[in-house]
Amino acid sequence: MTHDEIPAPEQVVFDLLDATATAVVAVDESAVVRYANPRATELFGYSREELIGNPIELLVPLDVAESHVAMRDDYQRSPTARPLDDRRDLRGRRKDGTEFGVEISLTPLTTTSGTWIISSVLDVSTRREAEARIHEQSRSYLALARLNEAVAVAVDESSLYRRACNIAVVHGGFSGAVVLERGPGRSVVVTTSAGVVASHLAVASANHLSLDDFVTQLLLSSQRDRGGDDAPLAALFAGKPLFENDVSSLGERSAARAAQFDIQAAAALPLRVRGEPVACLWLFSKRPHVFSEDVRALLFGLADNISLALERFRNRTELDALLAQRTELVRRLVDAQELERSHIAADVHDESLQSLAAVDLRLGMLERRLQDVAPEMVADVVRVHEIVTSVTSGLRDLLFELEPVAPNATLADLVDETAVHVFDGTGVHWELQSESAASERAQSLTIRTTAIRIIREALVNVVKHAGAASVVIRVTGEGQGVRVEVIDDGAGSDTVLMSPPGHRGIRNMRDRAEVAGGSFSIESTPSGTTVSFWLPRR
Amino acid sequence: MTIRIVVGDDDTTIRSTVEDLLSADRRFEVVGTAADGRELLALVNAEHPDLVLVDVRMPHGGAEVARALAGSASESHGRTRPKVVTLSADVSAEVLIEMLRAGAVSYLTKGYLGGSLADLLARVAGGEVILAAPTAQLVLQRLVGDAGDATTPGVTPPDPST
Repeated sequence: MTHDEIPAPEQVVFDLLDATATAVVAVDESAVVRYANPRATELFGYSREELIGNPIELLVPLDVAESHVAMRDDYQRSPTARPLDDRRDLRGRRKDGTEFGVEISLTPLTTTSGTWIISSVLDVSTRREAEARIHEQSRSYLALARLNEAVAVAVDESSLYRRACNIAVVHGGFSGAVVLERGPGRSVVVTTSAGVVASHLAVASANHLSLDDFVTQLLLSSQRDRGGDDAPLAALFAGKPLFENDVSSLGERSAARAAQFDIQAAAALPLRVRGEPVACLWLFSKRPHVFSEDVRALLFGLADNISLALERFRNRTELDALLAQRTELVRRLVDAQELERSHIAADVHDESLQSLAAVDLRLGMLERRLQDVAPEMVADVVRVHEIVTSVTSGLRDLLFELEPVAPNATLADLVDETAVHVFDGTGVHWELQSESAASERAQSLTIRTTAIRIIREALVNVVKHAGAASVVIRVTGEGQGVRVEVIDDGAGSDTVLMSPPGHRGIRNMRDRAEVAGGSFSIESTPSGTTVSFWLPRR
Repeated sequence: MTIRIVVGDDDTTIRSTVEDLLSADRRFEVVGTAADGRELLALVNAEHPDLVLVDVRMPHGGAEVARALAGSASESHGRTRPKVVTLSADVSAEVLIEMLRAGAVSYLTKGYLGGSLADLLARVAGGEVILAAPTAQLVLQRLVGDAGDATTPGVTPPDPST
């Protein structure tokens, strides 16, 4: 019996197999091919004649041919109908030597010339490719999700770039990721890098390129070649994204350099702030054609998110700067006001008050002399003296308001002193309730000055308008600052709020609090008025 | 026995007024006047007065003078250390406390003394402490409070907010 003969009783089976769409090959007990259907010859590229009579290993990849012999011997000892394990990455070999993924089912067939094994062979290379693509895509989605998360939590540019590059390499399957930023002029700065390209180049030495050198070379050559490696430059300066799915199609030099780092595809994505490109995310892949429509869309989305985050950082930085500027302006404003006040105070003190003090002493002396020589004139001199004293008191009040706030006194001390001065001789009972921690919270002189000026205004209002019997001044800590309340039991609202001086006083207090970055409120009922303000600690 | 006094003030009107006033009083002998603290100290070293009347704001005046005189106590060669009396238009508690800590024994406020300056100075010379300022009570409370803290270790003063 020759190998090309099909045993007559089984002829009908093989006639059927001839017509099936699946490739089928049958071997005898010595694993020699005895039958191959038309689909099998088509799939493996052999003619029927070339297959029949040859060992089955003809269709098995060379690297596994030997182990295949052992496996098929095993099987033939106890042949059963079963599919071969799909988890094994089974491959077939075509006549031209190329290999492809297969799934195989084995069925023993008892024939008149012994037990044959019928293998049906399914070409799964397309399916596996599709699976790989799906896997790749879900990986991309996962990477994008992680990246978006990183973007959301990043606190500054450098940490965002670092995380983005890391995730692109670790989860996104890219072999390298680099962030380039625009430097002064048209220069380029490598801000962050990760992956093979980076680690390759991290071992920089005299003989090896550093990453900076690598990037510089690429950029230089792109300026020379006008094309190919333009991607990062175009992304960085013109804001044009670029996807290069097959670097071998680039210029020779570029292709050679890419091959050196096992780069098959690359993408450059512009990152923008307010529409202007400021940086570029540059991704490398070991595999060509990774930038499908879907992946591109994902990467565009990612670039947009990173850009938004960058914008957020810049806005916050500008806000911080504005805030600092404002604080500085407030300090300068308060300083300028205080300086002006202290100049006036010094003038009042040095000239008017000194002269009045001298007049006071001389009038006293005069009164004594008159007691002896002209007692009838004493009353007149005493009247003059009284006027002088009341002018002195007026000037002293003015001085008290104008004089600079003692730099080392705590807020509680300052309040004490102010209350003593304002309530002296008025009969108003007052009480200071101060948390020492809160008082110390008013750290800067600017804040203490603002606070004491407002408090003074409030206390003067109590004396002038409220007709109160008692006042509580409360200083407490609140948030990052100090809360001060002045609570009186006076007649309240209308007189305080409506009278022009009261009204002006309230506006002054509110202005002072708000300029210092704090807040102010006044609440008045028939049983009393509460002035409340809050100032930040510095 | 007359009270020997030196007067330190950079305001000429005040200086001459005080000098006139005390010279007219038989209880006093004005042994010199000075327009700044250094001049005043030189005068004290030369004349060994009983009282030193000092302004707070004159150059090198106020606390600087009081401290220098307190420090020179051991060199007084058996003489009584001169008593430092502040005469100032300044009434802030801070300034009062600073002067008392520096060694001043009395504080008189310009503008409200009238004919009583000589009488008050005589009483200070006699050993009284006079704080003639609207903030005197506050100053006393603070100084006594501080002293209380220092002499009763381990006892925390009650929190004023409770």
